[in-house]
Amino acid sequence: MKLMASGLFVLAVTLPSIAQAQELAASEPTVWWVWVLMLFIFSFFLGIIAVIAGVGGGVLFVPIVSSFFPFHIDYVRAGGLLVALSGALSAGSPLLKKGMANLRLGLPMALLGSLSSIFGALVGLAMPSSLVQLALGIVIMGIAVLMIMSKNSTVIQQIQPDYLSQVLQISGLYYDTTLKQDVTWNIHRTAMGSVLFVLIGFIGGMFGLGAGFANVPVFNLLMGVPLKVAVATSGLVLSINGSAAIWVYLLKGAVLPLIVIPAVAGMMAGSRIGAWLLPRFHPKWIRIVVISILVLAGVRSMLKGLGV
Amino acid sequence: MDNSSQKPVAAVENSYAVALEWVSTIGVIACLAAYLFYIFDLLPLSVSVRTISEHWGISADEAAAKGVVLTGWEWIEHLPNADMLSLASIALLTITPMICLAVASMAFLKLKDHAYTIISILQIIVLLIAVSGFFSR
Repeated sequence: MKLMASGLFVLAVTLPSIAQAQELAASEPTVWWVWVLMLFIFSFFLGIIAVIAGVGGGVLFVPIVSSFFPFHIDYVRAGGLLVALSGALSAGSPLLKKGMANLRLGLPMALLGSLSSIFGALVGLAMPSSLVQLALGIVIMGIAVLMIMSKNSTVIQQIQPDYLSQVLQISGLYYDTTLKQDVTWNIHRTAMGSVLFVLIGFIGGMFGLGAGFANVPVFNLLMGVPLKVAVATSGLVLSINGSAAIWVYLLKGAVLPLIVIPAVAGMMAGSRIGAWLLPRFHPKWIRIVVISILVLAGVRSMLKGLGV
Repeated sequence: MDNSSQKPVAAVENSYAVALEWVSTIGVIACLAAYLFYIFDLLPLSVSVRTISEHWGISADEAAAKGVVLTGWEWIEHLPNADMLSLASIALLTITPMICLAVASMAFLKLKDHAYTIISILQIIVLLIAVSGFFSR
C-alpha cells in the first residue's frame, strides 16, 4: 500500500498543477508557456509511471492530454506517436545489442503494421474529432480491460515452430539474467500474429497510441515469444510503425513542435528516472494505478466525445 | 529448429543498434537545440508562438485553412526559421528507423540473406511513401 501511495503521490503532484494551469489560462488565454511547462512536467511524471508499469508512453499520453489539456486531439495524437517513437528509439539500442530485440521477428510484423498504421492515421484524421475522442475512450477502456485480464507468460515454452516461421527463419537465442543461462526460442501461429499486427498498426496510427500494450501479448501469448524478447521487439515494431504514421500527421500540419518537443523531452527524462526507480517500486501496485488512470481517462474521453 | 544462424543475425542487429544510437542521439540533440531557438526567439519565426497557442484548440485542417500550420512539404521553404527548424529536427528523429533499416539491409545483403534484404528494402519503401505524402494528398 505504501508503494501504491507513492504512485498516487506522483499523480497528486501532477493533476492539481494541470488544474492550476487551467485556471491561469482561463484568466489569461495566451499564457502559452504555462501549458507548455505543465505538459513537460506531466510528461516527465508520465515517463516515470510508464516505465515502472511497463506500458508505453503513448497509451497514457493521448487519452490524458486530450482530456485535460486545451490542445486539439489531432496534435495530441501526433504527440502520442512521437512520445512512443522516442521512447522506443532510446531503449532500442541496448536491447538489440543484448539480443533481446530481434530483427527477424520484428521486421515482417513491422512491414505489415507500418502499412496499416498509415491508413489508420489517414482514417483518424478524416473522422470528426468528437467521434475520434469517443472511439479513443472505448479503445482505452478496452486496453484497461486487457491489462486486467492478460497475464503475460514468463514461462519459456518449448514450441514446435510453424512452417512460415521456419521459412522466415524466425528463432533466437539470448542470455536470460534471471535464469542465468542461454535461452533459445521459436515461434508458432505466425500467420495469425501477422494479421493481428495489421490491426494493431491501424489502431496505433489512428489514435496515436504506441500499441506496445497489444504487441507484447500477441508476441508472448499467441506466438510463444519469451516475454523479455516480446517486450524488446515490440519497441522495435513500434518505432517503425510510429515512424510511418507520424508522417501522415506531419504532412497534414498536425505536428506542433511547440507542444511535441517538451512532451518528448519530459517523457524521455522521466523514463530514465523511472528506470532508476524501477527496482524500488512494486510493479503490481503501479499497474493498478495505471489501470485506474486509464479507466478515468477513458471515461473522460468518452464523455468529451459525447459532448458532456 | 536450427539456431546456427544466430551469430550473423546478431551482427545485423548490432549494426542496426549502432546506427540507432547515433541517429537518435543526433535527432534528440537537434530537437532540443532547435526548440531553444524557437521559444527564445533567437531566429525569425514563420508563425509566432502566440498565434500557435491561440489556435492549438482547433483541428489541423482548420488551422491549415487559416494559415497557422503548413501542410505537405511547404515548411521546407520556410527554413531556417526557428519553428521550421524544430519541425525539421522532429522529421530527422522520425526517419531514424529508415536509416537503421538501410544499414540493416546492407548487412543482410552481405550475409546473402535475400529474404530479409527484400523485407528491409520493402520497409524502407513503405516509409519513403509515407514521407513523400503520397497517401496524404
